[in-house]
Amino acid sequence: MSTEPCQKAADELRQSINEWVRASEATREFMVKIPWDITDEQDTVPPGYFGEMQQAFEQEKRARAKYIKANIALLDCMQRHGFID
Amino acid sequence: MKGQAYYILDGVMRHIDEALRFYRPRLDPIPKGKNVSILIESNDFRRILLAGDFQIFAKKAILRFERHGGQFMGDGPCEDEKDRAMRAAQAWEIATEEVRRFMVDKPLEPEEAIEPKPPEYLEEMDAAFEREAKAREEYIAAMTAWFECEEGSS
Repeated sequence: MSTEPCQKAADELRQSINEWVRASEATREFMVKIPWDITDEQDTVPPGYFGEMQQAFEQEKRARAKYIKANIALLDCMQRHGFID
Repeated sequence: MKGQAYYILDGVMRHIDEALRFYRPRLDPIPKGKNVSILIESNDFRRILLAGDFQIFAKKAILRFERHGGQFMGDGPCEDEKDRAMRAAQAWEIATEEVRRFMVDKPLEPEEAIEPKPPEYLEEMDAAFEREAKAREEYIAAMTAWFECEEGSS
């Protein structure tokens, strides 16, 4: 068990960041696929493509929300213990 | 009408040449001064002109061409849907660029120091992601409408 007052909050933030990194990887896959030469003709996309894309972004959103919560928890902890103003 | 179009576009040939040089990789080679009617009547060329650095001039030329009864060929039944999809795609691309700067590239190393971000940073990040989500929704809606239109008209 850690003796640092905010160690648990820091560990949770680290974990949530890493989860967010993994979740956002899936969205990057869709982002880089955008064809955006204005003169290009766009072929149709495979069935379920937009559904998959939205699912990936939803997962990223959940992971991001968890990261923000963990970030605020660490901030609060550090303020409580006088590590920051 | 082609004669009129030639007349209108007489003064823009240097801009067309410039456009062709710039966009050469995207177009089949077109000999200078020849087959211009094919070129000016194509929607692709209209888009290319408007995407270039001489938009005001191109818009004027296009307007004059249309006022004199000229029509761009290739206006398919789904042209509006396609234009909307292209605009939505570009808007989404810009929005994703904004969120990328907030995204962490790789997992943190166990020994890596960690510091919480200030609330202002989180708010800014949230706003950027909100814009991205809206742009993505419009992109999906526009692309779906375009595909449905193409399917319905084929």
